[in-house]
Amino acid sequence: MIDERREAQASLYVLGALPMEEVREFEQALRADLELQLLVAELRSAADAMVVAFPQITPPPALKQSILAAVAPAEPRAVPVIVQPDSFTRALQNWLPWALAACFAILCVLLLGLGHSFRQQATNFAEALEEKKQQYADLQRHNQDLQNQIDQTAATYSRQVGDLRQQAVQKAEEAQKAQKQTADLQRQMEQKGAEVLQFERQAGLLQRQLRQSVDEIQRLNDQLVNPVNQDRLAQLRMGVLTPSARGPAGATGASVWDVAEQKGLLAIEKLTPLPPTHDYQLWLLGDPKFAGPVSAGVFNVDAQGNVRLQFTTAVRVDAANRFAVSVERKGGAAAPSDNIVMISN
Amino acid sequence: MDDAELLQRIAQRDRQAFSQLYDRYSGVLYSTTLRILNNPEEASDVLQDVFFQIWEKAGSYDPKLGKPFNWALTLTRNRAIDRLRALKRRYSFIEEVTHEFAEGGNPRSAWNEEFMSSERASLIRAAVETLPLEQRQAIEMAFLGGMTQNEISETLKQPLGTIKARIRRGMLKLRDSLKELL
Repeated sequence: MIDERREAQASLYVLGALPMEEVREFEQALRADLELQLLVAELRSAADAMVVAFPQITPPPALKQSILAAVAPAEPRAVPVIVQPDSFTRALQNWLPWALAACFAILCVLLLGLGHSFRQQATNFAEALEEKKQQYADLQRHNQDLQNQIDQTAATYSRQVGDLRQQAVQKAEEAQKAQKQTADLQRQMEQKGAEVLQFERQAGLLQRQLRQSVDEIQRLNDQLVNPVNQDRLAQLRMGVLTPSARGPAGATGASVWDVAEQKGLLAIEKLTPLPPTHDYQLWLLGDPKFAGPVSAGVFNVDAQGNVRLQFTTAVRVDAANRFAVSVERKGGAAAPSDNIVMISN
Repeated sequence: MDDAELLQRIAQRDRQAFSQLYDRYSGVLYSTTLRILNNPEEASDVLQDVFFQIWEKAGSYDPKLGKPFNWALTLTRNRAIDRLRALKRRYSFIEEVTHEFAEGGNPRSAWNEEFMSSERASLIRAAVETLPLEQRQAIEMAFLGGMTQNEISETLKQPLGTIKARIRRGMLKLRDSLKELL
């Protein structure tokens, strides 16, 4: 199977248009490939046949005569006419042979001289021929050297072309990679831009919330500085409850008593749950109107030991300043037992 | 007597054989030369040189290298292209090609009678005419103008690859069209 490149080379070769640098390579391939030889022969016949299609014009008739005349053989030489001697010259014929013999002798001497000269010239020519042969051999060697150089140069160029092609492929791959990276970066920039927009929206929202919080703080501050509210705070009694020696070590709590409203709030954590037969009871201490603590009700805690409740008292308490929790029988007691589990400072 | 026998006789200095060969070849060789040089005087001059060469070199003709006509055509083409270059002119492709002359009743040589009046000649002409103009142009510039692929590319202001492809396609098509005839 002959590929397209070889077909193009064969066509150009037949037409004489293949560059010299490709001719050698093509002819090497041609010698080794019978199919290619057949193709070249067919293409050559086709090209030659093409001239039949040209406009056919007969050359001038005189041209044939001119050509034939130019290749005509030389005219035969005229036969020399022999003139018979007359009676007056017959006498001279007696000594003419002697004269001719003398002339022949002189001619022989001359020919011997010429022969020597010709031998000398032949020797000179032989030497010159030998010298030319030597020069021819030198030229052939030189030609071979040049051919080798051309082959080496062609091989070098071929390698360089191969390298350059490879580099071009690498550059193309790098360019493709760079384009891909650019596209990725572009996408990332677009994503970041979207995120920035989202952040800006969130920042706007937070700023609005911040402004609302500032307003709220301002409002609370205003309430705090309000004299009515200051009076309300002055009416509150607060205490932090801590475990007593009998109470559970991890329990904590706090209690507030609003003198003005006569209501209170209790919050305790990690107090031990009691059996159904007992209750915890809260007490308010420190009001001089009473001889002892005033009961604020009974309660119990959930499974985790926590409780949060509002409480009040059966009597008005105006000066309580401490709180205590005791364990009492179910329903509570009129006065606290000695089983105090938590007390405020 | 076939062409090869004529060449053998010419090698033996047979003027009659030479005259016969002239009658067979002169028309097509002159037409080819005229097409290359586009000048009747120059074409006549080249044709005369070619026939002198045939007279002198008939003995060196090697049948292995092709038919006598191909040999003579190669001599003619080379000589005409050399003359074209010596005149420092460039081959110019002529589009009209076949019809006008072929149908115009111009006188033809005896060789032409063998080729041009036959069905075979008509088929060859038809095959050449079916080639696209740009392919025929590139092929002719190489074959008759002695131009390399690069010169054709520069002259026609077409990429080298295009010229190669045109020549390849044209030559293969011509080969396929003429396969039965050659």
